[in-house]
Amino acid sequence: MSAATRAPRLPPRAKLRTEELVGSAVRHAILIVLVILCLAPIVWLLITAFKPYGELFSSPPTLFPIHPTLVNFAGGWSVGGGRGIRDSLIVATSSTVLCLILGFPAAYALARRFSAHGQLSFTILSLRMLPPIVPVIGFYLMFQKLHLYDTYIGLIIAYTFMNLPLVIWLLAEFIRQIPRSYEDAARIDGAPWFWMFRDILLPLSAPGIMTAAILSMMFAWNEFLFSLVLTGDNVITLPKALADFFLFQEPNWGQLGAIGIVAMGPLLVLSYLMQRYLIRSFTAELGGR
Amino acid sequence: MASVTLDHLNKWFGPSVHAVQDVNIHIEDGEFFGLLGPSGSGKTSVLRMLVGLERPTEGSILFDGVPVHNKTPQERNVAMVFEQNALYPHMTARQNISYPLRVRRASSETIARKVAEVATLLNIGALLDRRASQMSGGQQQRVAIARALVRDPNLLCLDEPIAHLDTLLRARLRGELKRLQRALGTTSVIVTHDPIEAMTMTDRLAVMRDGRLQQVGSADEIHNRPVNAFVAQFFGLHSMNVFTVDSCVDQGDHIAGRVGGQPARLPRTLERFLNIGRRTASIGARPSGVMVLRAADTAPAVEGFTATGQVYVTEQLGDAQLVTVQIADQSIQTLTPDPRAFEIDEPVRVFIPDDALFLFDDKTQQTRRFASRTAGDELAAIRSEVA
Repeated sequence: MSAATRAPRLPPRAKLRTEELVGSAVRHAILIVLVILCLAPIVWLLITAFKPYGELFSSPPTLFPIHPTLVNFAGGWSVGGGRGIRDSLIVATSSTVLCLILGFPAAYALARRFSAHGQLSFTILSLRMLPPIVPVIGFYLMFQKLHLYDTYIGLIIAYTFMNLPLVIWLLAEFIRQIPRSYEDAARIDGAPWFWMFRDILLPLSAPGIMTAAILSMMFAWNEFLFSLVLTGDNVITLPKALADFFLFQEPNWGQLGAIGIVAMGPLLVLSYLMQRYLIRSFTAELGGR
Repeated sequence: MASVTLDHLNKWFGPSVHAVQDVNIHIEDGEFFGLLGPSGSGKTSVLRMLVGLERPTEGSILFDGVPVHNKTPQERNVAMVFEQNALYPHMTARQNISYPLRVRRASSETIARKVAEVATLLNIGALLDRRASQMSGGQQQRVAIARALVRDPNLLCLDEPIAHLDTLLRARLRGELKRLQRALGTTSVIVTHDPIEAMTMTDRLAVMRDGRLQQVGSADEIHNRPVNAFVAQFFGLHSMNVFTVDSCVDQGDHIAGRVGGQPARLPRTLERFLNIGRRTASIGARPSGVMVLRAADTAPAVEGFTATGQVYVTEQLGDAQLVTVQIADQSIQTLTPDPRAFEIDEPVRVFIPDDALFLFDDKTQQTRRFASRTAGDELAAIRSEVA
């Protein structure tokens, strides 16, 4: 078969007109610039974390470490990174668990007893929209009096306060999607309230609970203002540990980079999980048909 | 198993919605009872009170003469099959069916034995390890029925259990459910908006409207002797024609009247039922009792209602056709075995023999006279006409 007979069978895409080519090139160029803008700081952080101290300020700067090292990770861990991760984990996990324990019953009541378009649901969510600086002053004064300043419990309470509205609102929306007939069926099957909750409601709400937990965890992990104002030397969360590098002397950029990279790890895992659960929570997993 | 009595049952939702109004029903032990009505008629509220999902505002519910309306569903030992989302989606069929037993803390041997029993009964043995999403609608409903039966309930409640299935499957499940109920002898109540379901499956049924009981009786009784125009129109394979004849005047051998201005003739036999002072009659006839005639056709030699009109539309039903005739502003449907094709807007005469005529009070809509011809007669009449 000759080339001549085959030519007309080429898909029409092969014959791109000039303006289409230019359009495509411009679109890609814009996208590439945007991606670079977004990723550059993270990439630079990553590179810095692996550079030995002497190489940090070499002129001209090197894109890749010439003598890659893990010394920054060890140093970063001991000067406050390890402590920061521990404290952040304690505070973020505890406040998330507390949010779910308090939030789920509230969300259930909201979903089953109040209208979806009612004022109550919106009022609760609007608490989350407060600028954090507004409640933080009140918290500071209260915590001084109650001896909660610079304690884990104090910070856990503050984070729970901030995240609870979102958790309640999210879970309420999710529970509204669960048909009531499952609960009716469980009651008729003779299940006491706790059985119904454990065997029916909890498994059906699992994707919603995961989503709420991940979001709450992320907010608490990243939070800076509350931990700056409400804690001192006793509780040092990761964002505050990072900020402390700038307080006294020229910061050790390599260690800063190392801690930053480690701090991102849990977030990346959570984001990945969240994608999965967010999708599951809005798809057929529930309906059963 | 138990007999069930609803005694002056009332349900209010808030101060303004009187969903169930003074309902009194007695259901015999082992009976298959139907609650029939359009949506919003209160039938589902009655069912939810029966199983204990709702508390009656007033009145009482008795199982075998013992009040149960303050008891939980478990104490009543009732079961229910829901219209949709009947199965717990995160459990397999086996886990679904065994759930009521697990809640009752039955031993694992008992659970295994009972599950195997109902699975055989409903022919779902092969489905036991599937989840709801891996089963068809009919299979899901069968598993839901198994979950209801596994606890040997005093009362089985079915809330539109097959309404959302497709036609063929619905017909098959109607038969299966009826046989199953007969075999087990469990007192059962089915809620439905479909007169065919109610007619074919139940021993007796109640027709409800706007929270009030209209009529309780066997399908035959309700079909042949409906208490009012609503029941007459709602109950039956095809809705009964109910139309108004006004300006009625006694002409000696017949009564002359008008249907929306068009002259009409009524048989003399209706005279004593007519409230002549008002000169208006509310007439009813089932489509199978109405004949449609062309100008050339000779009228039957019996007394009856006649009026002229035009064909509005015809619908072929295979072995019969449904012809809708427009007489002025009123329309009358006829179900006829007549194989002739009628044209749209073709002028025709409608004839209803005297023995197929119902008469309703034009104010209260209560039935004043029943047709003497019954459903069986009508079928026989159609068959003889075809032959």
